[in-house]
Amino acid sequence: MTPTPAWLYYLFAVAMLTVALYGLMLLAVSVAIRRSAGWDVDIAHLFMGVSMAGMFVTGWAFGPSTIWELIFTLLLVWFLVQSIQSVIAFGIHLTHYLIHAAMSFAMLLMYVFPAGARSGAMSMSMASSSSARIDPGLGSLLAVVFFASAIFTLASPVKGASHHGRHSRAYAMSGSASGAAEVESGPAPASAAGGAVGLIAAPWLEDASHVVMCVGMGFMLILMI
Amino acid sequence: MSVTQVRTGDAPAAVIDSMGVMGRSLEQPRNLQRTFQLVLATVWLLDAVLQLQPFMFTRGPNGFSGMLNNLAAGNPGWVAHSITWNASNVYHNPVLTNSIFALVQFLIAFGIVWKRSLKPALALSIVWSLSVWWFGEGASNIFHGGATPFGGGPGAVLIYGLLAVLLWPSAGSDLPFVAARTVGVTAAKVIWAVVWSLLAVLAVVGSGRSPQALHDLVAAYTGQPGWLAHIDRATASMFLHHGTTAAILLAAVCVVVAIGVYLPSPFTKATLVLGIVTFVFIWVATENFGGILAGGATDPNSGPLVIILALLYWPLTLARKAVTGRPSSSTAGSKEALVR
Repeated sequence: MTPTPAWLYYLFAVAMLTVALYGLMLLAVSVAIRRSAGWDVDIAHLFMGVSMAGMFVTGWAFGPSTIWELIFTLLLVWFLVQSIQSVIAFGIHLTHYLIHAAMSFAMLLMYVFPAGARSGAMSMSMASSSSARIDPGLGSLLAVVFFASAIFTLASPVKGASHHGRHSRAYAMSGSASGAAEVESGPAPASAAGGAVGLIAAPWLEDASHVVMCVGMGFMLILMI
Repeated sequence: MSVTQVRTGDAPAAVIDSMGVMGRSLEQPRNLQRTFQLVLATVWLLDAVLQLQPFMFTRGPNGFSGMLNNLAAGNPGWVAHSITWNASNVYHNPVLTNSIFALVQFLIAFGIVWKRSLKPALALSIVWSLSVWWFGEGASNIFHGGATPFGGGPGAVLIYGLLAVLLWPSAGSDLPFVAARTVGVTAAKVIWAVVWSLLAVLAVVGSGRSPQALHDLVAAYTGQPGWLAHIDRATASMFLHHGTTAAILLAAVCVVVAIGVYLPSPFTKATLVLGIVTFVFIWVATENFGGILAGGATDPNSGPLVIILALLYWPLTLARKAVTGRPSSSTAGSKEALVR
């Protein structure tokens, strides 16, 4: 049962589905223009958006918990590997893959430890095998990290970095990886494609989807601790 | 060597990623005032989301209105009346009022992010902070001697307002410390001294030095995770046996920290660390992270805000790290990096 006020949870669920749909559209764009960067984030947002909508609204959840756990475990491993590779390639820095790894980890936690769900705030119908709850300290920490990511992403002068990172930005739309010098030159990704494709792949929109996901996931974690 | 050449090396000179954090550039010092503004926005966003918890929208003793009503107890009539009036409004329209409260905090958080709306957002945060302090927290029990810093006195929400003042956007340098950028060095130091002197006084007046009251303050927490409950038991026991000593010790620490900003830089840093460590302890052991871990919190309490405040006073120096990689011959106006 969705708690009061129901509209709030429907609002978040719709926002999550919107992010998922947007991720799907970005994936289509990536295929259409042979873009090599950011597709992993698109896939992650697609799965996260769909599954979180099911957490916010009873009845919108589907699929066995095990499948979701497997998906988010794979995403977690993928983003961790990407983080390591990014550090190896560019030296010590705060790679954007880390926040996506943290988000995948949070999703995994929410499926593995659904018992902390208070007040019937979310359906969590996909998981009932565990009576354990997310450690409140870890849940709170992740929530704060996501809120910080949302705020600093919005304020960042480099748009689209939440999606493609700083280093892969240059080939975000062009589909060709090149050296750091090209990264430095910072070509605007969206300008490489016009019309609807350019709008869908607009860096500010990619950042917006990340911000919405961060706020939604942080809220869910707060509800679960 | 041009900037581009520097950045084509193995390590990037500047990194801006999903966290939006720009790695320190050798070309330009980081705008620390802006960074702290965004940290403040993050705390406001946390508060906004906490306001959306289900119990906030419900009536009754376990709802938000009940929480407000409880804060009226013990206050003078004229203070208590304003709280019960607010609680009554929340009781009769819990969804509407709480939605508005959350919306205001979202507006502040995201308003701070955009530079165009930064000043209105900070101004709103000041007004909102004062309103919440009065109508929502009953002036944090300051009028009946119950505003011990161990419990968050004189009110975390007041520090939000103070941070908004100190972080009011201003052109110029973050030197000698970020808090001085807008209000000036003298005013910033006076503000610091007043705040910590107030904390010192509140630590020892009224029930602030009562072992039983301090014990009850910590013992009242319920629903905390096991490890925190363990800390609570130890803290409550310590307060029961040494509460007065702890209060006097806290007051002494606050006095030392208050005068610390007037001392030479190394001593200032030492007193700031002392203040930060003290409030880390308070945030964990006596504020219980504002109660967030038990659910039902409305904010993280004063601990993190006092720590942010202390960081605003951290003395900054100019490091002679020129972008060209060779030592700079001048100080002012050269391409130097701020180091903390």
